[in-house]
Amino acid sequence: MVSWNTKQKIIGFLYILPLFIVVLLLFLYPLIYSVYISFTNMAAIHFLHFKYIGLFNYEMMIKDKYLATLLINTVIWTLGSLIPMIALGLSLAIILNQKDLYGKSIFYAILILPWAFPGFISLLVWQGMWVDPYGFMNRYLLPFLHLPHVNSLISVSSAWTELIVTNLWLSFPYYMTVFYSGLQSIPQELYEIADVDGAGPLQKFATITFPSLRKIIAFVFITSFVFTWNNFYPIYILTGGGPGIATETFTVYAYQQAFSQYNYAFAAALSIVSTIITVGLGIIVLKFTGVLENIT
Amino acid sequence: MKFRLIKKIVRLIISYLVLIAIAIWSVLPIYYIIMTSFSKVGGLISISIKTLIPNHIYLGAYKTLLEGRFIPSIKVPNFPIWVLHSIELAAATAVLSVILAMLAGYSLSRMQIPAKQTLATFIYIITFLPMTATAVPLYLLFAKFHLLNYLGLILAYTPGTAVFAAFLAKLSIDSIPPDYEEAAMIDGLSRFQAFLRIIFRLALPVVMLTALLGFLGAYMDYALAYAFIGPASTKWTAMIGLYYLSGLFNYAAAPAYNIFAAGAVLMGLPLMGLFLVSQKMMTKAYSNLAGIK
Repeated sequence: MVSWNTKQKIIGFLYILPLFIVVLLLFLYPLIYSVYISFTNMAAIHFLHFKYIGLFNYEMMIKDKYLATLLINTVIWTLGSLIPMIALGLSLAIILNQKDLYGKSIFYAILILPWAFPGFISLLVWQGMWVDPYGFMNRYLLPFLHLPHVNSLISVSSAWTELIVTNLWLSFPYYMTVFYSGLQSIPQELYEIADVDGAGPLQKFATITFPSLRKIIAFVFITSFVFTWNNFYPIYILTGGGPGIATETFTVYAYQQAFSQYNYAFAAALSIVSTIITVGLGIIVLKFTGVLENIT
Repeated sequence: MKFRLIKKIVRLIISYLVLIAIAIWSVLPIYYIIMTSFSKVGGLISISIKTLIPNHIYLGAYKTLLEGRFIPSIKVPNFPIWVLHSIELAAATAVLSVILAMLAGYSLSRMQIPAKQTLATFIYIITFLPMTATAVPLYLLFAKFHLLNYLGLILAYTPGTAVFAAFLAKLSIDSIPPDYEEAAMIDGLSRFQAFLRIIFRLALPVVMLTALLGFLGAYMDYALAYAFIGPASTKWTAMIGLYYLSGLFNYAAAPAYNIFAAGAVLMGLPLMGLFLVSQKMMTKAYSNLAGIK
């Protein structure tokens, strides 16, 4: 005779079983399979008759400088995106948080539009705007602001400019929102006391604002770092990784290797390397900051 | 005193200038694509400052978008059928995510497993993986099992949303006293009936949020859909259709640019609304859960 308690435990287990199976079959198994094919020569020509070739894909990645190039590109993309995003997001949050500023909610409602408009569609629109010479940016806006043309087909620095400016447009509202709600939780009295003591704006930022936001900035930086590192659509749509492979990152290059070049094994190897790097960074960060306690 | 007043005015003027400049920049691309969709612009080259001045409302692009057969091999108007495909995929993903997440959330909550930390860690690690780490092997595995179709796409979309939503569901069900189901079970309902009638109803906000997240995730996907069903234009989704209309596959062979603009507006504005709703629900869910904890 099975006890009532045991029966309840079995029933409880049955409820979680479907999700468990789904994660096992559609997430963990593919991940392990990915490791396996990275040690083979699976590509369109060997689709059914691929064989084990050991570390060849990884050796090729290092020897032919793919690893170094992709690593540098991905770091440029990630930090190049994050630093302006955090700076602009924080500045706008501080501007909006001034108590004698009128029309905050109108400005806020307008400023979150780029985040709310579907990113994939925005990117398609931006792609058309950046076309040189007859896209909107190069024909009207950049000349109006006395800025040089941006042509991502021929110039590497143009390609990065295009990517980073567009990504800034897509993402700054998120950072603004997070920092704005963080700022609102700082007691106003702290600033009033500082005013009485005669502190300047910079001093107030350094002694009140920044220390209060330190935890939020750390959390945002870490989660966004990984998100941007793996972010796919901006590069895929705007530059396609070009010119050459000058703006390819791990994820974009792996996708193109798999689904344009049918080089599945190499794509798998690239994904594995990128995963190891981000998980490694993540563990270090977890150890130092205890971000997980913040999320849960 | 006067010096302080000047300082305040300067500070506010600078603030407004920055806000106005960034606000114009924020709205510009959206305004530009809306105005283009109401114009007769055929290609990028014919978009001019005049296009952006609202003295004309030409709805031809919308008509062509809804009725046009750009790809002759598809026997019905192209864009509506692609949108329909997307809605089917997204709805199925939403339903499947809700079922899996609620079942798992219920189990995690009532069994008192110390699963919160485990799940949170797991979700955290999932976000570390590049999309290709699972997309490439899933493509290869699904090719073997004849799943490079809508069923395969739904299966591929579901785990991500479901795991995250199971975590939300667990936290939400924690706040429902077990007495409610126990009373219902004494009245003769089975545990599963009690789960369906009581837990689903009381956790409705999380159910809605899960459905919305699952729907948006599947609807907005391009990368997986293109990898799985890319060459078959009869099976395209709305996002692949937009990519095609934007001229990124082949600029010379794409229809007029105002048709892409009409598609971008017609898809973009409702999805923007859904996004704002889901954002509000997400904030509410989080603050509710924080309050309970």
